[in-house]
Amino acid sequence: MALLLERRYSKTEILSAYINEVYLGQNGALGIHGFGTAAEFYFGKPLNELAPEQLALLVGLVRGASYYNPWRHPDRALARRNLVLEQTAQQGYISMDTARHLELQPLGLGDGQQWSLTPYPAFLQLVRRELLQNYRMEDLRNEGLRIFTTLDPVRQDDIEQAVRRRLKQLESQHGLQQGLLETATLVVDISSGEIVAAIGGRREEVTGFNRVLQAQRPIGSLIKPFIYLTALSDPDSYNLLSELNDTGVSLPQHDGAPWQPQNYEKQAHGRVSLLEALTRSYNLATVRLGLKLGLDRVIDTLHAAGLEGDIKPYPSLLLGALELSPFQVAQIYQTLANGGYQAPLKAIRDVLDKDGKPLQRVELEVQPSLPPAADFLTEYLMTQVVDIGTARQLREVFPPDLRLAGKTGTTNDSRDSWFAGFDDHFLTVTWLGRDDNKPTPFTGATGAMQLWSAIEQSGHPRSLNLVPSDLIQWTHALGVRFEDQCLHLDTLPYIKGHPPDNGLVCDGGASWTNPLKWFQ
Amino acid sequence: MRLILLLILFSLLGACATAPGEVPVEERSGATAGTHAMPGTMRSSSTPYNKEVPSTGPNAAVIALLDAADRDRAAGRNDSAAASLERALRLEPKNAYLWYRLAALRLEQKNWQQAFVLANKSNSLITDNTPLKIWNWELIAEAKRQLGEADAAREAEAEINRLRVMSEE
Repeated sequence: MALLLERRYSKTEILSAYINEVYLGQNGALGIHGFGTAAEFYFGKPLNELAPEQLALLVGLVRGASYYNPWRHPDRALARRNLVLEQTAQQGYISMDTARHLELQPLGLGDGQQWSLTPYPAFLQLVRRELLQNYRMEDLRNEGLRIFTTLDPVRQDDIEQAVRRRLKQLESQHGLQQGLLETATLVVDISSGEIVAAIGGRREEVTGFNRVLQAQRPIGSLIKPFIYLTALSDPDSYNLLSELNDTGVSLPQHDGAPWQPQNYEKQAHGRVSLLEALTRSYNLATVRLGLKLGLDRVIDTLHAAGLEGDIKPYPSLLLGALELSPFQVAQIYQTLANGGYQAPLKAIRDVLDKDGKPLQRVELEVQPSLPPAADFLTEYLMTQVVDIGTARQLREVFPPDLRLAGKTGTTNDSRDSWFAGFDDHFLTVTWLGRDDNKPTPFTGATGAMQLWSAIEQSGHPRSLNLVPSDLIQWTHALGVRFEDQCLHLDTLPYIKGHPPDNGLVCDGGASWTNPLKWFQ
Repeated sequence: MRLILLLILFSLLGACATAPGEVPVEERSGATAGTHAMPGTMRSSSTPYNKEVPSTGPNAAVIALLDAADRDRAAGRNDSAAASLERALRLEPKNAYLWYRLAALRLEQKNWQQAFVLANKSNSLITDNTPLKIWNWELIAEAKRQLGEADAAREAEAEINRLRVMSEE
């Protein structure tokens, strides 16, 4: 074998093949192969920028990268490096004096923590997964493939910075240990489903846990828009001012003990409008609504929106006792934010072979998945979450004419803080919590929404423009009972032939142009 | 050129609807004056949700991409044409005309189902533009015929007639 090799290749060729592949260390589950990669890994620099003593360290590692691991065993590594320097001098490549001088230098390692083989590991994992799902193995094995992805590197960098900064702020504001909180964020182009940016954790470890795909967390109130959409799909029975009953619920569970959900502030609100129940995220009204609609219909809506797999029809589903990854959440919200048209989330735009011919184009495809009129009303409700609901703090941050839509989500003891929100172009889903699943001091609004807000501010959001279908009509100005006051609305959308109920309409005098004023 | 005119026209629909009573401002220098005239097809309604249409004016990049798509289509490079249209849509995702163009291309590619879906998607983004709606319905009628859904094709034809009568009134 050795003979065969030598006859066909020169010594230099064999040596360069070897030094490009030799094992020089371990980063998590990933081996570090070759001097170029090792230079980046140990020193954070390209190979040709290394000092001679740094090169000597890498040479020394060939004999046993884990035994001489310079972080774990700095003494061994140093002795080994100095041996290499001495031998180099003995061979006459450097002078003995130089060797003596270099032997006094420190190891000069980088911190290795920030290192990753690729700058965007969470995103690249999405690419890898999609390649394996959608392409044939034999095609992928070919050399010289060029893969064009949907990543927007500038946006990704801005978002990473914004998230890092805000996380630190949140931790210090709440007196938490730095580095305690973890996050996952996905930014999606709404109309195409293209993933523009992905953050799998606060440190983008190459082999680390990619929370975008792998963190399965209960989604809490992020489920609610899909319940209300289910209701609004039946305009004979529901409109934005339908009366819901926000009073105590008690249901027997498997073990016979009653399940008695509560509102976040442990208070029932009695008769409320559907508008108030969603925008203020009332649990009791939502559970009663969901039970009346039937769990199966809610599950059908989730499936239609693009959620795959089995969903158990437990009543607690109605409060989001459903564990999903941020990726799955982003898919169902993409459908919702796109007028009911589902575009499968994707990270790859094109794969070209070595001749530049497309292996397979990933065409833009959309599927009508949710009823458009009910979808429109739900998107409208989500704008009201931002204007007058649980996310109204955003109105203090963004200019009044920038229309945004969103929904907060919090799970038991604030273990998970979620926010899903969108402007005219991009949907951003953010999760905040701890890897050990312990409680945090955050709600959806005080936690994940703060990250969302920082992300949105780091871009150039366009005001959300909801385009009503032919089926949508608008009321005149009216007053509506909302949290025991009379909220004045310029107008309210409804499905043609199904004007809103008037049971909660109040007599309010002049119409109110800016709902914000009402809160001041 | 006809294409550019059309595009300016459709983009202007947005501008025209921004504020009732205000003259839409054309941002692109050298825009054709004639593009303002499309009486009867745009009316700003009193609802808050069609006052704003995303683009402020024709986007030069979008126009360039449409030109590229035209050239590719003429040369039979439908895949490249589609790629250009998709890029244009990334810039203006709520431009109904771009969705119409992609639907028309899918029809040429004999992807009847997506032609139908995309024409519907285009329609869902139109607030007040009967001519474009008619074009979409024409695509839908053809797609449905090709799919062997004769009833649906007839319904689409009926919708076309209804819209034609309406726009003549």
